[in-house]
Amino acid sequence: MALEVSTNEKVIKIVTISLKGRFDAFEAPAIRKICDEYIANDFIHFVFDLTDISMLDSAGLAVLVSALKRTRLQNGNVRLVWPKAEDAARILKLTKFDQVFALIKLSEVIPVGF
Amino acid sequence: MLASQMVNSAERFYKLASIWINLGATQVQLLDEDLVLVSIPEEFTPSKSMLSVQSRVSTLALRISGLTGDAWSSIAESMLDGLGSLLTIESEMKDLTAALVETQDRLVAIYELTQATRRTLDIPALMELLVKESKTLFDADGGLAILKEKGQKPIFHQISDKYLSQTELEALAALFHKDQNRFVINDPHLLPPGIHNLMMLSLPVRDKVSALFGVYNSKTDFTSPDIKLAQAIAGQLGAQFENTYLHLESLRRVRLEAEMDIARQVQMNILPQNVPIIDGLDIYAMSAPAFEVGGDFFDVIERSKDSLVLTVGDVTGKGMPSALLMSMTHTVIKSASRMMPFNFPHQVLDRLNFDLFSDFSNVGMFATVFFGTFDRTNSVLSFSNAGQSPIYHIPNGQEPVLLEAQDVPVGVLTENAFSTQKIQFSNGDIFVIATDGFPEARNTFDEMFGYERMKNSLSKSRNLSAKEMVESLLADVNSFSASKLQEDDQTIIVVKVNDMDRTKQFLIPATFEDIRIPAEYLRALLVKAALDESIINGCELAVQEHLTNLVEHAYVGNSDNTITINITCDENQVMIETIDKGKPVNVDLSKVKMPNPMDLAEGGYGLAIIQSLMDDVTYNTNNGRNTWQLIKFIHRTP
Repeated sequence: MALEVSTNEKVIKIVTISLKGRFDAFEAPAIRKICDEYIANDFIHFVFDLTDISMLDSAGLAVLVSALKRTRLQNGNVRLVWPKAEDAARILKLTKFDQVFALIKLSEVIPVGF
Repeated sequence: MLASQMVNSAERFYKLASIWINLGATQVQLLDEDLVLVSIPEEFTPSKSMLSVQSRVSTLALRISGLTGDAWSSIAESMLDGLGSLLTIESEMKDLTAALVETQDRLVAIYELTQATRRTLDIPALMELLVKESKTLFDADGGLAILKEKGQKPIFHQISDKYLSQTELEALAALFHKDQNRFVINDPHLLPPGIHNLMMLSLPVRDKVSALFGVYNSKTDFTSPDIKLAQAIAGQLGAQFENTYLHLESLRRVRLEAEMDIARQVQMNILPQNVPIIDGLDIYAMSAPAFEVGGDFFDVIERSKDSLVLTVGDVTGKGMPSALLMSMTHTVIKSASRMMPFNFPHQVLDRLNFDLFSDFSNVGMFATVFFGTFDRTNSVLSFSNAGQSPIYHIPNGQEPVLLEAQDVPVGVLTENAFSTQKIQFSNGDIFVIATDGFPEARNTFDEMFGYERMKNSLSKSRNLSAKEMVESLLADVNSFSASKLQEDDQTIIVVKVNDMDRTKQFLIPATFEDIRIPAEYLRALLVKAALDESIINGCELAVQEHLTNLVEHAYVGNSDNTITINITCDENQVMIETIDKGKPVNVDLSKVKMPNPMDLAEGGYGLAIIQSLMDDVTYNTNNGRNTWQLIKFIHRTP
């Protein structure tokens, strides 16, 4: 019996937004605008690479929460890469959002070896 | 005398005579010596038998016609004696009544004099009343009063037909003072020409006032009752003079108090109302006069961008005289430091001494003066100290060092004898210039606060602001002296050379971009202070959140407004203070709660985050100024 082969390509687009420096009230509107554009174009999976941020404030946090809310409605998600500087994302712990966001390593987004 | 008395007593005699006539007498006559006083009946009817009796106690005699015999004779004698006694008593009674009436008249006169003077609170008017009334009272032709206050010319008042010259009055006063018990002089030889008798008394007024009043040329010589009356008048009027002096004094005092009040205001306005705000220096100065006006002064003058003048002085003595010299001294120093080109502080004191030496020595006063200039380019204080004490230098992290004055006070020596010293300041150094009113404050046991307590107080409060250091010192001095009143002026200047790396003020526009400046500065400051990363990060995040809140809520994104931010870091704490003029916040800081993350709220975290990061968060709003203080305590491991 001949082998029956069927292929199914599933492309999941993941938007990785890498930030460096202060993610604060001054920068937040620009990042929000980037997210808005992706979401408008049906991107629903986001990774915020916070590896190199020096600080995250509540305005930056609001951008992350807003993205999470909107992508979840379409069964998407927002995942975060924890910064190198342990305390830079301290606000996530204070607000307990570290238990809401999926925290991943960058290698989980882009598998090593590819 | 008896004869005149008899006229009034005729009625009694008629009754007696009718008894004799009933007994058979034809006529009864009463005689005083040979004069027939009364005859009943008046017509004489001759009779063979006649009884004639002479009184044993008076000059009266009784002649009874128509009766004879020893028995009748002895009855007649007794009757005559009784009549004589009666007449004598009546006469005395009449005298007594007259005396009583006179005394009553005089009492009424004193009463009227008292009434008239009661409402008079004017010395010349009182003298006029006294002289006029006593002249009338003693029925004298002249009255006088002499009033002399210590250190002043005497005042004379006379009412008379025969005026005495001032010399004569002074001579009378001297005569009186020689023998104050001799109230009355009835010997014309001792008196000025034209004066034949005089009664003079002193009024019991205060020690510093000698008051005499007198009456002269009375028709009859002055007697002991006159003196008694005059003494009563003297007592009454003396009290009224005393009242008048008290009244005048209280008027003077009220006027003086009003003038002192103005002087105090003028003086307080001479001294600087506020000290210049200079970046990198924390300066506080104050002066509290002990009396209405004081002899202490101070000044903090910004001569140029880089040069600051500090001066504190104390003119010896208290009250108005030292206040006047203080004003002069202060003015000379002020103009010398502003106008005169000088290289060394002692040149200013030389100038001061030159200008005011004679003024000081004329009144036997002098002034201690500290005069210094602080060069901000190299943090060097050059100063000249003419006897001013205490001066403390508190090097950063060390105990206060008392700097003794190297020169004599201003106004003591004619030649210029002042010198200049220099001190190099480091960040965190404190300099205190004060007057002796602090160390010499006394308690109820008469102990002095002293230099040691002052040093300890300054040492204890060294980490506080300049103003708080002064407040702490005042609190220590006040609790030491307790209920004892402040005896001397207290003046002080405290200059703290801020550790500029550790304290900073920002004035930024309220935008999200500009708030990064203080936030990043804070991080750098705390890194430099070698604090734990978690403290550094927490403070930075708290400031970031707080300033974001101000921009978002207080100013609603309006960038025209500004926020003042003071960042301080010392051994014990990090303090961030902000002052804004945006919308006041209506929030109960004790009820702030972190939103539940599952609700995915996009805001409302700021204040909860700040409170969880900082140890103390306070807010108050006053006159459109909102002040926030965020404090993080530092617990260093030793």
